[in-house]
Amino acid sequence: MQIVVRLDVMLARRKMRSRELAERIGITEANLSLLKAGKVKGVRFETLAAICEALECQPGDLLEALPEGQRP
Amino acid sequence: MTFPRLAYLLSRLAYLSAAVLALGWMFLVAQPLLFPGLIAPEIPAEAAGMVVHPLAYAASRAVLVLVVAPAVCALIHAAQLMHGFARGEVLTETAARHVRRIGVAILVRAALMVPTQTAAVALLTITNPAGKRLLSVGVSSDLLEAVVYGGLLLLIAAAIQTGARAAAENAEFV
Repeated sequence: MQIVVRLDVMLARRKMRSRELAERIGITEANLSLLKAGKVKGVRFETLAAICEALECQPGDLLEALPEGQRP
Repeated sequence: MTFPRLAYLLSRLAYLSAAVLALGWMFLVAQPLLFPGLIAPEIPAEAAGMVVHPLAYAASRAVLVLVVAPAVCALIHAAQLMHGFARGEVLTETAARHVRRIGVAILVRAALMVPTQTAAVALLTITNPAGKRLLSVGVSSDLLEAVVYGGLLLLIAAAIQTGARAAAENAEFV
């Protein structure tokens, strides 16, 4: 299984820019960009909670488990 | 005083100490040949019934390089380590490497302490007639202390390396 980050989808739904979200949750835009691209090893619960609060969503709206090899 | 400032100052002091140690050794080697009357030996050689050749003096001091070189090496690595601390590089592979090398230098110095002293005394008296040559072997608690501290630094280096790996892994989490 692979975990795919659907942050860009939620950002589009909420019509929010990456920069604004980064400012609201207190991480750098570069780190948020890495998170969006799924190029991080993990997400802290603290960060996840902040994103959920800012985007008014659930963790399940941001993360999706896909079979290995399936394109996101 | 802040941690980075203290680390920076100690780093400068370590560089200065390394330079003083190296230059001091060079001076001690050159002194019997260039300025024989500048520093009198603690016990005048004539009083001990022997005449020490200036070259023997220089050679006996030159052999001290075996303990001076590891000390200079340790000081340079200490300076680089603290310079890194001043820049905020505390839990890094580089810091672990510097600490490990300081530990190795201290252990090498400890291992060479006894043979160096023996060689220094032997060289000092090598020009004496038979029966007036000395061979001294001495072991002190300094040697044991150096072994303990050197070994401790190797352990600390391993701990820093573990910390560095954890910090690197933590940096990959957002």
